[in-house]
Amino acid sequence: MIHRIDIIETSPCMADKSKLKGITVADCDLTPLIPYINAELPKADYKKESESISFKKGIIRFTIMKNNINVTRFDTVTHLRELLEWVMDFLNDIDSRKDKITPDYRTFVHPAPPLIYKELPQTNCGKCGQKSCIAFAGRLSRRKIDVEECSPLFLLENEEHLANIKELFAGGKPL
Amino acid sequence: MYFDNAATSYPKPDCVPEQMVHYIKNIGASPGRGTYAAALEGDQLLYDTRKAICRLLHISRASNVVFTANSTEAINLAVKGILQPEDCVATTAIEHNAVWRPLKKMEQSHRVHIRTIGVSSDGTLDLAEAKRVLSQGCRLAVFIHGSNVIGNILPVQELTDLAHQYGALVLLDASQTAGAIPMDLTEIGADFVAFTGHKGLMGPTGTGGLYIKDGCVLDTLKEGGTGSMSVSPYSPEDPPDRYEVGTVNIIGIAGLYASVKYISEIGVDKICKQEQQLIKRLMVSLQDVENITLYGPGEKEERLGLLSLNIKDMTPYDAAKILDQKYGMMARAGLHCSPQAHRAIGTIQTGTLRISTGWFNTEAEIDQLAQALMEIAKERV
Repeated sequence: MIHRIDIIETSPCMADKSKLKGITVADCDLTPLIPYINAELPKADYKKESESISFKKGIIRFTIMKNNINVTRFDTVTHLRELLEWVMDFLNDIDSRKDKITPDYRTFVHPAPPLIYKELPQTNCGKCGQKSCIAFAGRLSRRKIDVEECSPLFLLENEEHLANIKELFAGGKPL
Repeated sequence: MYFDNAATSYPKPDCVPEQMVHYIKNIGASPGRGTYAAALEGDQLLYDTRKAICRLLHISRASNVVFTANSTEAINLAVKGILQPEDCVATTAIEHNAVWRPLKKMEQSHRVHIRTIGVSSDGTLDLAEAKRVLSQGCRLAVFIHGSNVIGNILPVQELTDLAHQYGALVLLDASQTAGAIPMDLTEIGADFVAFTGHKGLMGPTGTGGLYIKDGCVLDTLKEGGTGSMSVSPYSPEDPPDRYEVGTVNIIGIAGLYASVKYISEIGVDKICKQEQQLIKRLMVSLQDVENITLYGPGEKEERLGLLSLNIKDMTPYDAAKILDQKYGMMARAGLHCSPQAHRAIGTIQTGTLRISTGWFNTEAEIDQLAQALMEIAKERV
């Protein structure tokens, strides 16, 4: 159960200078909760070796490791404090339901981008927001984009390619 | 005995000076300007105060609360941050100078057109008249929530709905009502609400704020350091940092935090009821007294804990002086920075004597005040 989260430091985001990033510390070790967070958030990035987890709420990214909760891309310190209230409620809710959640220890697997690219339409249509199918493959490998963003892949004629892509990710958290 | 709570509340709850002294002596740092523990503690206090105000006024997000020096600054920020040259603005005929003067300034400097919603001689605002004015179209409508002269409370929810229906943004002046009457800003739906910290909220002077609804963006009134995004030559885009430039009045906000907590523990309902009961007790005592004229809604109608009155053949200044010197009672005489409201009720030439109650006034004090006013009036017979 978290009772408070303190802000240690805030500074501009490296990737987006119009946003801020912050280092914050909870009053308890969050490591035991991480597999349960992983189970609740299919798109969360769980790293077994560092016992950390990273997930997004809109454009905001939270990364949790031990007592630390790092937050990126918020607007103001007031905004950060609102986000910390939200994340505290969210994590305490998971904590209170732990006996009903099966912990998930699966991590993301990262297939080689060329293997993904081979299965894509390769039309560089840009519907996914990326400049090319190669760029999409790279981002999908790192789980920085959802497979659903490639709408042509979901056409009936590409059914087998989609299945092959899903197979590439087998063994880890599913797409 | 103090009866000028509509000007500023007095005394303050003990926790207010205690919290302020605690901050000066034991924390001291400028919030949002450092990463050391004391600066972060100051920043936490700032946030906790926003949240306490959010809970009291039913505001969803702390980022919606921008601290200002007072209501006047909050109103200036909203009025000057919205209005463009040649825009139309609608307002009531009983506004305080905190609204009226910024609008008149914008009339001079930006050729803004002011359309006024008239009121009856007792200050009552007619919604049909409001509809007539608002239906002409305007960018902004500014409404006083409760009159500091007449004591009446305007139907702000209906007015806000009407203004929105005709495409206007709504700015509410809650100087006399925040903390004094129950208020749900989410339900009212106004886009901007100006409030002060030192009247109904019982905090120190130099505190106040502007509620800005999600999605509403104002031009800035001031630019400067915010402790965030310092590399940019421009103000941050997001509230509250966008509007809170320069070091905030954290000592005052420490006191405001204490007062808002104090009010929340008692309950605004209870405070409101007590202040209104006291003023109605005074009205009952004075309503049939020869030579005394009472203004505003009747004793059975809803009103703030304030009452304007006059004694025949006596200026309100003389009456206030006698109250002070002979009876040790403090009440305010004059136009109360609201010439518009005095024009509306026909007291622009003389002004009125205003009695305004607070949480710390008692029935015994009100009875002594009534007795004093009756004696003063009797001497005029």
